[in-house]
Order: sequence, then C-alpha cells, then structure tokens
Amino acid sequence: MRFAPAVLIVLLAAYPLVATLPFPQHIVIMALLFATMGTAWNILGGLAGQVSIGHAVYFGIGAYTAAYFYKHFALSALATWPLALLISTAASVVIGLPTFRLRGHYFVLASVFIMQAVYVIVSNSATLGAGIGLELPVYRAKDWTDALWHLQFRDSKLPFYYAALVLFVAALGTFEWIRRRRLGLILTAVREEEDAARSLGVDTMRYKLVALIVSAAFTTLCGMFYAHYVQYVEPISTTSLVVSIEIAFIAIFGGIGTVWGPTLAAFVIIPLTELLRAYLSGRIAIGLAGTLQDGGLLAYLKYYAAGGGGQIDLLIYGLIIILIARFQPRGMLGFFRRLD
Amino acid sequence: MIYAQVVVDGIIVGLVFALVAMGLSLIYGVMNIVNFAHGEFMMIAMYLCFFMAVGLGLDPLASAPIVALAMFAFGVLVYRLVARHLLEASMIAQMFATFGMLLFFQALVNFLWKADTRSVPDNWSTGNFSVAGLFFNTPELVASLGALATAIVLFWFINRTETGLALQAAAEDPQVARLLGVNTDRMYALTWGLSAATVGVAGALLSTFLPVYPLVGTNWALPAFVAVAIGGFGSITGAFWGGIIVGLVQTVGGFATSPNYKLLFVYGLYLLIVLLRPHGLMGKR
Repeated sequence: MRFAPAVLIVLLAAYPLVATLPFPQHIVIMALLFATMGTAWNILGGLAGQVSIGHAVYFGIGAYTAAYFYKHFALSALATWPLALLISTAASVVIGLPTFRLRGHYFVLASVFIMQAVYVIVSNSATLGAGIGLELPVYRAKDWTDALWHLQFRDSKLPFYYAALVLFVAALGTFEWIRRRRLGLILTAVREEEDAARSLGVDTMRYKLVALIVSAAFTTLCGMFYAHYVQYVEPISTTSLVVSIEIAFIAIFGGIGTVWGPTLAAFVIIPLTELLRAYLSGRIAIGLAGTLQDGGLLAYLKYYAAGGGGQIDLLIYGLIIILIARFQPRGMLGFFRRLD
Repeated sequence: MIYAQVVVDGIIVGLVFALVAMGLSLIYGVMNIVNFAHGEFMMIAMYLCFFMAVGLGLDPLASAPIVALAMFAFGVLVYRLVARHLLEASMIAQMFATFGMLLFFQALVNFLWKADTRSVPDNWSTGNFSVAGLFFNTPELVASLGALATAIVLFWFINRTETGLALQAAAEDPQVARLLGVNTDRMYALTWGLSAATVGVAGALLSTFLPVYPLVGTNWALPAFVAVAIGGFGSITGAFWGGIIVGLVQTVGGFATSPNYKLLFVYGLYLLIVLLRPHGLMGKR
C-alpha cells in the first residue's frame, strides 16, 4: 500500500501514451481537474469541516483572470497566475472573515448567497462579457516555445493532460501534507470541537482562513486551466451555484475528509457524465431538429429517445446525489469501510 | 410619490415571498431540514399551471386549488421517498439530498420541455389601474392578495386546528408528542405536503404574469431563505414578516441602483442578519 500513490501516478502518466485518441484523453483530463478541485475543497470541507457551497467563486476568479488578460493583453496563465492567486487570497480573507463566525446551515447559506452575489455581478459586468462571457482568441503558434507561452496546442492534448496531472498531484500532496502536520490536527479539532479548541487558546479563525486560502488557491488554478483548455468562459459554467454543488459533491460523494475519496469520486462521476454528454449531444441535435413539429405521441417518444432538451448529464448527476445522500451518506468510501 | 409607489411595489412582491418563505420555514421548524429544492417545487407548480392553461383552457387562478392538491401529494411523495430517511442523517446528507433534488428537477424539466420560456396565454387578471396616484398592475396585485389569503389559511390551520397543534407538538419535541399519541411520521408527511402546496399556490399565482422556465424557482426561493433567516429559522410568523422585508429591500435596492442588482441587497441583508442577530429580527438571543 505504501507504493500505491506512486503506482497510480505512473499509471496516469502512461495513460495518454496508450490511449492516444483525443476523447479518452479529454475524459481523464476532466476527471483530474475535478479530482484536484474535490481534493482542494476537502482541505476546507473535510479537514476543517466548513461546508462551502461557494467554491465556484474561486474557480471563476481563475477562469476570468486567465480569459480577460489573454483576450486583451495576450498574457496567458503562465504570466497571470500570481495575480490570480493574489485575487483569490484577498477574496478568501474578505469572504472568510465574516462567514467563518457562522456555524452549520448558517455558514452553508452564507456561502450560497455570496456565490449568487458574485454570479449577479459577473453576469452584469460588461468588462467580463456579461451573460455571454469571454472567448480566448485562437492563436497559431510559430514553434513550441511560442505555443507554450500562449498555452495553445492545436494537435495535441498532452500538454494539458500533464498540466492537469501536476495540479492533481500537487493538490493531493498538499492535502496529505497538511493532514499529517500540526495544522491538520488543529483543523480536525476545529471540525470536531471548535469551542473546546478556542477555550484552549487556539485562534480557530486564523486556521480556518489558512485552510480556505490554500483550498481556494488550487481551485483558482483549476479555473485558469479550464479557461485555457476550453477557451471560453461564461458565468453559468464557471461561477454558478451548479458548479459549486459539483465541486463540493465530488468530495462528499467520495467520502468527506478522506485522502482518496474525491479522486475516486471524480474518476467514477466525470467519465460517466462526459460519456453520456458525448453520446447524447449528437442525438440531441437531431432530436431538436424537427421531430416535434410532426406532433403526436410517437414524435415525442422519438424526441426523448434522442435526449430531449438536453442536460441529461445533470439529470443523472442530481439523481446520484439524492441516492448517495439517501443510502450512503458517508460517501463511496463508506462502502469499503463496512468491510473492515 | 415615487417613493410611496416603490414601497407599495415592495409590499406586493413581499407578500409572495412571505408565502414561499412560510413553507420553507415550516419544514425547517418541524424537521430541521433546509430544503434547497423549494424553488423547484414552485417551478413544477408553474409548469402544471401552464399545461392546464394550454391543454384544458383553465386560468391559473382556477387551477390553483388543483395545483395545491397535486403539489400536496408531490410533497408527501418527496417525504416518503427521500426526506423521511434523512431524519437521523448528518446536516451534509440532508442538504445534499435537497441540492440533488434541485439539480434533478431543473434538469428533468430541461430534458422534457427544453429551456424555453413559456407564458400562460390568456388570463383573467390583466391590465392595470391607478388609485390615489398609485399605479397597480392587476395580476401582481391579485397574486399578492392571493398569497396573503393563503398565508392566513396556513396560519389558521397551524395555530387553530387540532392537527395543526399536533404538528407543532411534533416539531417541539417528537418523543413527547409520540407519547401523547401523535403520529409524528404522518405529521412530517403533512409538513412536506403543506410546504409544497403553499409554494405551489405561489407558483400558480405568479404564472398569471411571469413566464415559466427551468430556473425560475431560484430567484424566488433564495430570497425566501433570507426571509426565513430574518424571521428566525423555523418561525412561520417570522417568515411572513421576513418575506415582506425582503420584498421591500429588493424593490428599494433595485430602484436605487438597477433592477439587475436588486438581489445583491437581499443577499447582503442575509449576512447582516445572521452576523448581528442570528436568531432573526424578532427572535430572542
């Protein structure tokens, strides 16, 4: 078991050399991205017990910083990441200072409302493209250094794949490092017995802020990665309530507070939803094209068989969340714990 | 005069928030569950009204009682299938079950009928009029008064009937209530039914002038959460007054800046309330 992490990393590093087609690579890139965000969320939500349904704020900070500076100044995330982390840290402090005084559902609702407030501001900001969003212009690189500087690789997903892998390993390493240090013990104390920790003189606010800053930093970097990878940033897919739920759910689905839970969850859920989306998106286009105009029950059946109005991935996602909460509230790792 | 108009508009929309918030606070008061899918219940009721208007030619005001009954059954079903099994679960499991329902119902409606906005074709309540220099939009006023009437009925039911008092007993102390012969399981089912039915009536009233689309519930349910916080979590009366305050803050804030930003004032109000008076404006410390 000691070598399991190393084996996993080697396997992940070798995967795109075996699976050379873009789509299988894309699925694992997305799984790595969500595993990173779930692990980052777990630092705050799992170790410190602060359930944030507002992490898409930090994802949005990363995505919009990358998109805005690339679009207007041709500066890629390689140049702007310190700025993004600065914004994300400032936002963490501004958001954390008032909300960390709240407990339980008061805290969860506060994170939801701050999330929604940011959504309102972003989707009304002309600078950030309002509801339409920002597109990162396509650039034809002259050579590979040029491509690297612009983070645009036309023929290959490999650079993005390995960047995602590095982010993932860094997040996982940070989580495990914090968990084993004094900081991890203090965060666990904050989660289990906050009042007792405070009565012993622990400045719990400071430690919760540290957990949030680290957690937000990784989420911000994931946002920057996403912006360059998808080359398009809009409010609903970056800084919305749905994205916040997705991030938190990855950690909760796998087993909140566990090292491998978020990774396990990401590698189960993301391939499932990505495959469904890909399988149905082609059929949805056909479904929307005209079957409904014929009228009649048969037309409707054809329309639904073709994927209806879309969002079937979110449909499945919602169903999984309900079922997990209903039958296995300790998360997927709860299944395995029962055995020992 | 313009200020009087803004205040009147705020109260009109506030009464609808009040009704939505009362259903939310009811579930919280009885079961300690924050139902994030409350707005989706309303959205489903609005679709029911739309299809009854198109298919049967029923005006939403006529179909409101049918919608209330259907939503009552729906609420009981959600309790039986999901909420009942969360009574002993952690806060995270409870919240995520309702987050899951939020995603599920939004996506389901999207799948069935696309994200298009739909409006009920002909309405009984249309037009507008003015009294003493104040301008009234008839469907909005009708919705507001309908919400007030429904709120009064709910209030009467909970405080003046035997079943309502049994429900309060189950909320106060389930074990003692059980000893006194109250079937708490039925009371919980009733709570979900009543909550869904009242938010269903709110949806029916709103569908006379608002278009229906999958995300329509969020803009009504999230401010309703703020109303619940203002009134003190679990308090029905508090949620009612909280709803009116939220309506006023949203309308005045939107008037002072831009309607696009009206919700910012409501969300800000939540932070102010929970940080300064965590038990609500009327609650004891």
